[in-house]
Amino acid sequence: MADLGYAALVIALGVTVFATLAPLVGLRWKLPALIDGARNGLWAVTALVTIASLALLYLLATNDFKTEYVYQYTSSDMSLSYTLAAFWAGNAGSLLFWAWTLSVCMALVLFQHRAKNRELMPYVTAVVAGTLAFFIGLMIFVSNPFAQMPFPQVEGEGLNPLLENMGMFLHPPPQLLGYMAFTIPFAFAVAALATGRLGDEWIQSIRRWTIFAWLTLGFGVLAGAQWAYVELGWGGYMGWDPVENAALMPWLVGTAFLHSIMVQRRRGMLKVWNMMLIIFAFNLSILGTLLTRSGILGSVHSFSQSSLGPLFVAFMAVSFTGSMALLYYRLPKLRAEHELDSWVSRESTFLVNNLVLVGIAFAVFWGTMFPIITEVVRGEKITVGPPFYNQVTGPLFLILLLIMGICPLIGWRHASRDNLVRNFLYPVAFGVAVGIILFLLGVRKPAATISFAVLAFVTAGILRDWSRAVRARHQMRAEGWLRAFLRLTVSNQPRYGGYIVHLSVVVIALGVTGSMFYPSETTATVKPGDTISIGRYSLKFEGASEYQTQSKQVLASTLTIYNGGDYLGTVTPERYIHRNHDNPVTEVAIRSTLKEDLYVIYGGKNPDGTATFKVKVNPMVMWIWIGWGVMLLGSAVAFWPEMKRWTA
Amino acid sequence: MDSLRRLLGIIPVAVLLATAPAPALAASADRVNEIASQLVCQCGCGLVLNNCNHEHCEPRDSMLAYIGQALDQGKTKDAIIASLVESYGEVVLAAPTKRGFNLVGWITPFAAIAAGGGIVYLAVRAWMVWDRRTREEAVEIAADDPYLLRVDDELKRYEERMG
Repeated sequence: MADLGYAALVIALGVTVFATLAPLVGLRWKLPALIDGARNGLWAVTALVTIASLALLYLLATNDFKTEYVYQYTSSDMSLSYTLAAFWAGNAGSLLFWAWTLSVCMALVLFQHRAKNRELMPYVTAVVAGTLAFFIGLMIFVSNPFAQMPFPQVEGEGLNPLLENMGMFLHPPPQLLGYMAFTIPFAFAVAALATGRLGDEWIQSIRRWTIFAWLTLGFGVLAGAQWAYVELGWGGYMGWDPVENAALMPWLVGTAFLHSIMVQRRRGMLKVWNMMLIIFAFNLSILGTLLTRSGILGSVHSFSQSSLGPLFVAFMAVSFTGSMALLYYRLPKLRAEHELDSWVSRESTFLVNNLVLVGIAFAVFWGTMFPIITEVVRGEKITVGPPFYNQVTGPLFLILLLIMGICPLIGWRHASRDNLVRNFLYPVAFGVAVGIILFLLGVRKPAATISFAVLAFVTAGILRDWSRAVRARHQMRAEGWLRAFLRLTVSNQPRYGGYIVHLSVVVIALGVTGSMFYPSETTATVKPGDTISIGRYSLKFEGASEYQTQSKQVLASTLTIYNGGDYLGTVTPERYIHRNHDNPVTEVAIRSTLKEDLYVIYGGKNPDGTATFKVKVNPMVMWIWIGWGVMLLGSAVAFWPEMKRWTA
Repeated sequence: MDSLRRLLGIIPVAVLLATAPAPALAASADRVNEIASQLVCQCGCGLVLNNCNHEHCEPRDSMLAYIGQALDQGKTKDAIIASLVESYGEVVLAAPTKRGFNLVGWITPFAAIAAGGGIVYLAVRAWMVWDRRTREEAVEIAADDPYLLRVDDELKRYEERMG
């Protein structure tokens, strides 16, 4: 089976190299058969990479420990679901997953465009095939998922215990999908530049793919945050680790692109800027894959070191310089069709929004790379951790939220004084009122108070705009409230899907603000029967126990929780020691409410019978996960095929 | 010379670390946490010191113990951090200092945004149509969007009806 998988990859490499070159040769020498051949070749690549992927899944499922990848990431005591999830646990499997999903997406693109965009498609085919050739080449020459062990093995090393969590299914696949999916908009952008067809057609072709890339990457980032929160056991969800940053950068640039593309569609402006954004988003996705898999920057995510780094850098150099050179060549054809009429217009707020989004992405990039720069310049290692990012990006995120509230309230082209007063009065008043009330209630940290006030303003602005339109529909068309709301929403899914996404950002920001500014924690070493107090909570340590399972030793503890004397229940924070891994894995106990999380970390039992616990109260964290769900809903509304007929 | 100075600096801290009692700190846990949140554990986990969750993490335990002991001796936060930097190097800090070359790290993101803002300003000025006629013609919404026109029309009629 390993031979079959490897052979499929070798053939796929040959076909992708052909599919990269054939369209270009076919266009140059007017040989349509070559262009058709390249398209058919990519269908074949999809089949071949699917065969290779199924072969790896089969090897994993059957515990074929002769295969090095299976030996490294699985063991016979693992459940089938985690055994199959090992597909994306290591370098070679992740590369195969990347190539597989890209080949499947490309097949979908070929199907969608079977009878349209005939000028663009040969270039799209060449770019995607070139990217596939790179990833398949890496598997064949550097990181082969089908490599065999020099000696037969009867048992595997097993999955890193940190990866044995639901997050293993929710975080890496969407994140890798998000990275991969930016290839499609990038390919269309390059095709538009190469052909000079820089009108609306390429923009329309990529809208859904960009939302898909943005959604899956965003989903992956939040799933990773949730995973870190429940599994890493330090009580936070964002450590500003290089790999977390790597996912954030293309997502932020993709967010900027999704906004500025509206200005291009509506006003024919920002054409050069949009090209640059999609070029950066793709290259940052490649950088993200590199940082995740190369180990060039220390990270909790880099589960192995590899020699992939220089090859990724070479690929990025080619894709970045090539696409930027094309952009330079086409600059004369990318002039804006309209001018900006006024500073006080939606277009200008989009410009500021883009500036801040790209600014945050740059700040994250800079912080991630600064340790390397310092080491080169000063010869000394430094750390760039959470305090840096919180201080640098915190104010920028606040400005971004403010713009998010302002933008929908300002009209296109030129907003009159009446427009501003009419649209801003109530949201601003609501935001200020919320700020004052919170201040009076004791929320006195300036950044937190301002943040909550801004969030109130954004929410009021969105809901006011939405409710006015629903009310108008209800009155003018005599539709019931619910019907008017639903029909209005589906009458313009991109707009109202966007509003839902904005609301989700508000909900997430609510959770981030609360948990960032008002956490509390205590560490205590106690004996059975003792009580730990934190805020209104009392936690009585009932006792500790140990037991053995097939794969790990479990150290468990039980605590009874009281809130101001009221019994709330028991929690059992644990630690696991996996048979193949020295470091214990923390299994925290979390008692979540909308108001706050009680987060209990078991530090272990001491020789004198006492046990050490770290207990945290993290306010409003649950809102982050609620916002995650709302974001998914909003993206689905924007992504779903438009149902305008239903509203007629 | 730097290495020698660092080596000499390590000695007093190393003595303190070696003799520091593990837990049971008299210093307030909040003060210890506040200082620890600005440091990185040196066990290789890459986490902020008070977030390292390794079971038997010698660097974490001794650094926390040192912070507690130094606080008990009346040392200031800056002095404690400085002595740990002397021992481990700047890599122990969770964020770069705000002096020397490190200042480049802090300033560059804001400088880049300011430069970007300047470019946007110049570009917009170049775009701007100051022509009075054009401004008079400008309307609040795009005239070519049937959806927005319909919503606007409905809102206008609704507001007229409501008085």
